[in-house]
Amino acid sequence: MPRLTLPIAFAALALTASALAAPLRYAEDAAPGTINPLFTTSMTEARVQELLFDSLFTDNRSLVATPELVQSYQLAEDRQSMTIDLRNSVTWHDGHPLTADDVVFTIMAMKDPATASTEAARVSFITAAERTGPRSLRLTFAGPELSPEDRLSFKILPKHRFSGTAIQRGDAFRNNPVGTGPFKLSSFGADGSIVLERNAEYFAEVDLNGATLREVADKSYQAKLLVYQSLEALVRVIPRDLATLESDRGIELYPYQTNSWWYLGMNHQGVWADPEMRSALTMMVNVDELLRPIGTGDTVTGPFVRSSPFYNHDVRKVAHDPDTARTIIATKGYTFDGTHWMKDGQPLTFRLLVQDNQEVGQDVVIAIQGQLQRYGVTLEPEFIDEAAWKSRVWQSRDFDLVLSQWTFDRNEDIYEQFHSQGSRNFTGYASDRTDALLDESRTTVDPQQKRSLLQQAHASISADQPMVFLWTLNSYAAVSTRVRSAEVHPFYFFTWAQDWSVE
Amino acid sequence: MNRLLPLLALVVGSQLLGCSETLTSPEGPPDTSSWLAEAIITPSAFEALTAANRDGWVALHASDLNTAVRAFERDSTGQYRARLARQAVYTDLAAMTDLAVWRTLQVWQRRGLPTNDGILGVVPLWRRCGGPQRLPTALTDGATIPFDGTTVPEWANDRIDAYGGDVEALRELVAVPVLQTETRIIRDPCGYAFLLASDDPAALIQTLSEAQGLASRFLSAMPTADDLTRESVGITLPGILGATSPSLPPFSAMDLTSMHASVEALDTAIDAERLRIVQQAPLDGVSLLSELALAERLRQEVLVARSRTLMEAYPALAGALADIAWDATDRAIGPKNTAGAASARARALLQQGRTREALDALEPLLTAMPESAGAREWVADLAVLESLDHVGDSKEE
Repeated sequence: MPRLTLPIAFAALALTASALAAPLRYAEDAAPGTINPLFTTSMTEARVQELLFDSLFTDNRSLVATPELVQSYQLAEDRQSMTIDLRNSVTWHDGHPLTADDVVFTIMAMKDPATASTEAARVSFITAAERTGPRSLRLTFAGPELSPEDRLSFKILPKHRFSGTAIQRGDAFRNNPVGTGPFKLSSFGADGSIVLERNAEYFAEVDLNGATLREVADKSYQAKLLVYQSLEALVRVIPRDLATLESDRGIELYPYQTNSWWYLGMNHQGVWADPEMRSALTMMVNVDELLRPIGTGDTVTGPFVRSSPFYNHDVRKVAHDPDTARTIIATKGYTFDGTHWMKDGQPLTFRLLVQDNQEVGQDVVIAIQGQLQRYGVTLEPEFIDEAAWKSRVWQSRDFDLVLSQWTFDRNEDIYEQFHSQGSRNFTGYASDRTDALLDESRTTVDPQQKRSLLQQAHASISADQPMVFLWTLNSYAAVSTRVRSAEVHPFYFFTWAQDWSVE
Repeated sequence: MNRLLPLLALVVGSQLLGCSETLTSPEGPPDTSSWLAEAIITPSAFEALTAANRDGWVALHASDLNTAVRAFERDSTGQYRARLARQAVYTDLAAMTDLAVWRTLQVWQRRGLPTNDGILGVVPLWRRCGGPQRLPTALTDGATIPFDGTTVPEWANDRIDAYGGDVEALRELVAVPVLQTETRIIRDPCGYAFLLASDDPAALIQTLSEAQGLASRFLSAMPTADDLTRESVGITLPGILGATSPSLPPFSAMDLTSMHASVEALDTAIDAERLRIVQQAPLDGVSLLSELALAERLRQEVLVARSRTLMEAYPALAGALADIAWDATDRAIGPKNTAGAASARARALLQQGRTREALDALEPLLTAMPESAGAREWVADLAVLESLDHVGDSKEE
């Protein structure tokens, strides 16, 4: 064999091995509504974006912020500004080089009121972003930042794919994304499936040979697909399926998204503006009875999970008390005709919006409907798709009640949900006391004071009952043991997926 | 974890039908070398064990360790077992407290947080129990201890007096703050270390290895008497006893892939033992094996013990092992998940820097062992401190 053919043979072997390596197939309940990081509202979207896009800094396995697109950086002595040099070998999936203009553009687009980015709050601490060279920039902060690396984890977008910083939610980028991440979009099918291929130009090694998202609404079917090796990962297992998956030696369960809780949200624009009516609803819903068929989980009394440093264990659960609820409703001018509560000839009726991909949610809705019917209240559930949900809940606020769950990262920052100015406060809840507590909790750097403030916020929110706080479930992801080096980020799931491989 | 149940059902079914020659009992006296086999194949041995102190063994099986210690008051072997299991938890809690204190002091100093309300008293108190010396060298890397001082504050004296007193009294005190003012709560950095020191694990291990018998190993990570004898030599920490039991496949995992292979080998060995037992055991013994989930318990005990051996040098592997050991179908401490499994998981997560997740892993322990609240509070403060600069993210699922 001639001398030069040996490396070529090895290269060929490596290529063959690469070609034979399987992609990761994972299931989501629904396809992402958008893959534009400016408008992310769901975890499905956040997870797939984690594969496609990069940030200036990202979590390492100890959850410490580590440079990703950043080559080097320097924080000013007064900690009010920072200079950044970007890696010089990074290209977008369409071949364009990453430049400082892209970073500046992303920040300006997030801040542009015309964009109305759901992520705008993540850059509110940046007052100016300026290009100082092709791959260097300076960020100026609103105040001294001890560790700005921890805040620079938003995804960077390609300037050349947009015409300006005022970006519409429906921009074509939402299903034709171009990132710098370890995987790039190959196809976004009509069936909701998304195929990602390995980014051969990625600046770091990528072991995983692509990923495929499959939309599978039926959770039990998801579990079967994993057991029969038609999938390699389920991002979220419902408690009912845990025993089956736990007993399968080809599957490993990873604690995932333990900071999430379910709620029945009320639109404060209508009848729920009245705190007594909110209280009546809370007393009519028997949360323990709803939870029982779902499986293992803990009821919660406020906007934190029980293991949270901010959970206020002194707040008592609102007792299931339909008699008091009836008394309250009667004082509001309703009369009971033996079957329904009536006012002005109309029965007391509420529209409950639920996303049609929420299998557990559908069971819960039917149970709530039964409970309220017992007490003369009619519930009209509407099962709608994610796009309609976003439009009716987030934009037009066209609902009486919603059933959903919030998931938080390790900060458990509830400001956006419960502050009157919060970007995710679609129920319209407003309380001066809660606002003051949340404002102060954001500025204090004393951990014990922060805990105390947020425990008080828990009590304040619980007393106002802006929603019926339901439960946190025993929360796991399931990954096939054929996936090597699998380590799951507690919030974004796929942060280290480029190091995974499928046998 | 009932991953062996289908196999068990098949075997039992075949036995009942008498349809399989390979599953008939072999000739000769039954081999009962492992505690699993001894308890199942010879129900009289199990009956004698539980008759001596049913409440104690029920509590130990449910990992209700404080109850077990009390229930075994007049049963020295049983009590040593319960105390040893409790000491393993305290080992984890002491290590977690040390880590949390160390990291808290580091961040406290870096952020320039107030030092006028008690924090300065932590280090002298912590030094009292040798806390800084226990920290893994790789972690501290020669760094000096912030706010170091030698004068133990006046407010700490009562607690120091308690360190030399009654163990049960100290256990009740360990979660109570040493200082509580309007603006500051200081938790005891030494409580678990003194609980460990007050009941020398090495002496417990030595006494157990001399006791032999089913009671010295039942529900433990040491299947055979030989395992106990050979392991007890030189081992002073309760949580790792059983990690290298010679009767089980050796463990040599230094990466995730090898670790999974080691777990597979262990599962295969336990499967084989289970099959052997089912072939020889009377039907009521087989029922016992299933109802008490004894094979699953052996597996969890071994995996947790092995996890602890990796805790300092390979925390990610330790965490992965502790996760595999944990039964996801039940969040509470009980027969499926021991207190030691919960504390090992939490400790591995904290060692990896995953502080908020460690807090979640500690949560089930709070009900079973209220004294764990002291460690929990240190970790909770640290979780908040470490995330102060992070921008929170939240999404709908």
